[in-house]
Amino acid sequence: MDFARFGPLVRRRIRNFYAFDERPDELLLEFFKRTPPQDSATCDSVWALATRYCMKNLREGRRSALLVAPPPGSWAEQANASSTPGYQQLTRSWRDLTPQMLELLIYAEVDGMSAGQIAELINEPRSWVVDQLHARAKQVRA
Amino acid sequence: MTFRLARDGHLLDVDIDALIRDDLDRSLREQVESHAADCIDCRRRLDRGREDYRAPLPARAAPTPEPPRPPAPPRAARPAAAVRASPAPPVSEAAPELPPTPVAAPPAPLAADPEPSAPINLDVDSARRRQRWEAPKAPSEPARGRTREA
Repeated sequence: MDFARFGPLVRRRIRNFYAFDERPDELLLEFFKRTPPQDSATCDSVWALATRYCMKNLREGRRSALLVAPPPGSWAEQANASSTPGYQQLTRSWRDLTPQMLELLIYAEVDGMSAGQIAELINEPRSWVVDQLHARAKQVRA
Repeated sequence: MTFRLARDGHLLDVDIDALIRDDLDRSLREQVESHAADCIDCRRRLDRGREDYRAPLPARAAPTPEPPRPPAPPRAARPAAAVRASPAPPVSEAAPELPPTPVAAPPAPLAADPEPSAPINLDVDSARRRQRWEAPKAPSEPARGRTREA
């Protein structure tokens, strides 16, 4: 993995994921140390890998809380997404979610991706992603 | 991604990086650039992304050199082949007693990695699919629908 090319992207992912974390560089270096080199790496694949890496850290308890923050100026920030029930429940009860659902919600709620984009990123059918997000929305409303 | 703008048309972080790194197809690039030209927020984020690329990344730790090997213990005896090849020493009547050979201490075990972990599995999707395939099926609920009351 090209450190010079993908470093800023991964650092941004880590910063979004662990907002207010003052030491993203430690995780950044670890990510590149543990990720085997890939010739066909693209921004999308590195973004997905970095997201999974952050989630893995979270599950292992190396970071105690999920502190996702929408990046400044992003869709989520402009729409004030952090005050929506779905977003708040994501940060509050992420432990109850399956890793797959957590990943979906981070793409949807924090990154502002559409169902089609998420489907493409995680290589699943779009209908399945839509179903999952609908089920989650229904659960939050209940 | 085939279409790159976020839900209500703003750039995603992935788009911004792809644009900075010149990884977009021409049509996508035009689409993204035209959006960034119109949208002041996205332009700001794009500028911030460029600053990110200009900011120095932390220096990568140099690959750790192999720990120095412990000094080889002094050989107690020459290899058998060498012994065989060498001419027999002159037999002396009273051979002086050799001092006992010092026994070399076993090399210290390497320090264990404080956080050993397997490398990241790149093939997550297939692993997930396999997991789903192998997961035991939950007992199916009785079919919902109109039930005829007796």
